[in-house]
Amino acid sequence: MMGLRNFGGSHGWRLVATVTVLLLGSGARAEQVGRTFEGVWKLDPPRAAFKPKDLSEIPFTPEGRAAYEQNKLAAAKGDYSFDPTEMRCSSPGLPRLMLTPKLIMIFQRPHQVAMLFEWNRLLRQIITDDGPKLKNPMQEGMATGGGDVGTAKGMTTGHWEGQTLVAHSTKFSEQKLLDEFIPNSDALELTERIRLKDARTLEDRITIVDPEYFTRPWDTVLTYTRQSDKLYPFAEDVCLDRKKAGELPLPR
Amino acid sequence: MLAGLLVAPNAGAAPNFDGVWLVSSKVKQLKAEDGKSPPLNAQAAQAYAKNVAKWRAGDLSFDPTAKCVSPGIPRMLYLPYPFQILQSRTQITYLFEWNYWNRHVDMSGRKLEAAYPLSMGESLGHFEGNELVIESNGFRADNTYLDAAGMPHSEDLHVTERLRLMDGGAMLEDRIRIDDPATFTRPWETVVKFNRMRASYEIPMDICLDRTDSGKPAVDWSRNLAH
Repeated sequence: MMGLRNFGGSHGWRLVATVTVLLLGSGARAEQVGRTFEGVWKLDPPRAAFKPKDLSEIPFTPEGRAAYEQNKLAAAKGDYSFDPTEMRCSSPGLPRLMLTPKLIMIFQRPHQVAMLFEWNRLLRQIITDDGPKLKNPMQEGMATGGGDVGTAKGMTTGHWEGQTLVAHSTKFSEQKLLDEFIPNSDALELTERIRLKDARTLEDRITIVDPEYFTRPWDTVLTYTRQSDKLYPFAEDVCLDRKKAGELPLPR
Repeated sequence: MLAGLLVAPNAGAAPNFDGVWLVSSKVKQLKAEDGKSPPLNAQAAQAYAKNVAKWRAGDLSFDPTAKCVSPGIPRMLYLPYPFQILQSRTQITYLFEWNYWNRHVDMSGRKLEAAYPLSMGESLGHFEGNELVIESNGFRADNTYLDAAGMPHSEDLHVTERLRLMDGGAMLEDRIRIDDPATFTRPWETVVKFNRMRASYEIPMDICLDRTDSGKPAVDWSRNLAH
């Protein structure tokens, strides 16, 4: 931790934050001071499935329950054709990326929090600019089809509420799973509240909304334990190579 | 303006290259700094000429990158796709938009030792005043070229980059020195410039094979370099 913290770390950003507040006056957006999310994290305890945080049953609609049970049955027979990630290493998308069994490197900057996943070197960025999300001309017609087509990662807007990063995501593809068995429709919406529980624990509280498969919104909580900075950079993980060698892309 | 202040380091500290950057002009055939062709030796010049002829005819069969293989360093830098630099004291990470590749520059001062050849090679960096100096070697040479027209290199390639910020931080200048005695008659340099994109630019998920599956090129030179 010493290395990353010493660089401009707490002192540099605190000075910058103080100057920013002075320049912008009392209406300034609160800058993040003190501890940040920056560092290497591991999901702890490890899991491949979401459970409601109040330990109740998942509030499935009949369609949701049917798809869930069908997927479980298929997996029990070794048939993963319902799961594009197991079949061809497709991105697990959100929120399933947050269930990663491998490590996450989080970078924190004034305009964004970036998460670099060891798993297949995937990337997630949460942009925290205030104001309307500017449209970048290059993002139109990009690989995903440009705005109206849902993707595995969806589109996320973020903002800080004190020391909590609030990330709201929509525009998901239905051709992926919420977790190892639960489906999602293209109406899926996620709200994540990400914060440090303490210096060594990161918490991601996720509110899941998908009226096609759930009768009401429900919450789940993931926790991550801070790892040694020396574990980054990660050795390159090529999911397709692991699959060729007979591994399941994601353990079950 | 304020964005520059927010990412500024302490006064007197090393420059901060954090940001999203995009090459300022379309670099298709790499030229030396004086605009002349690089000093390829006879054999390499022949190999290059063969590739250039194909490339000019629209035949990319010589280029693994046309099938989404990583172009490696330095070619990845000047593809017409942005990258983000995330800088910390011990590491500088490049996040490339193109096929969501990344590159790590180790700033801890350890010795350069590539276990086996890699398309990105191994990079070590240090600061010299207001310049970031990146030394890279350990490149594999069987499936990467130095430019889009198929300029070859060998596994002896050693790349030295000197990066500095210009125009009050709006531009990144990368002076690239190519040292490859098996390919060139002497070391030579070129300069590639990058414009800063707005800090909130979100790198879209780019899966090259999805693009080529739908009939689009792996490297799309029609892309706008507006920043």
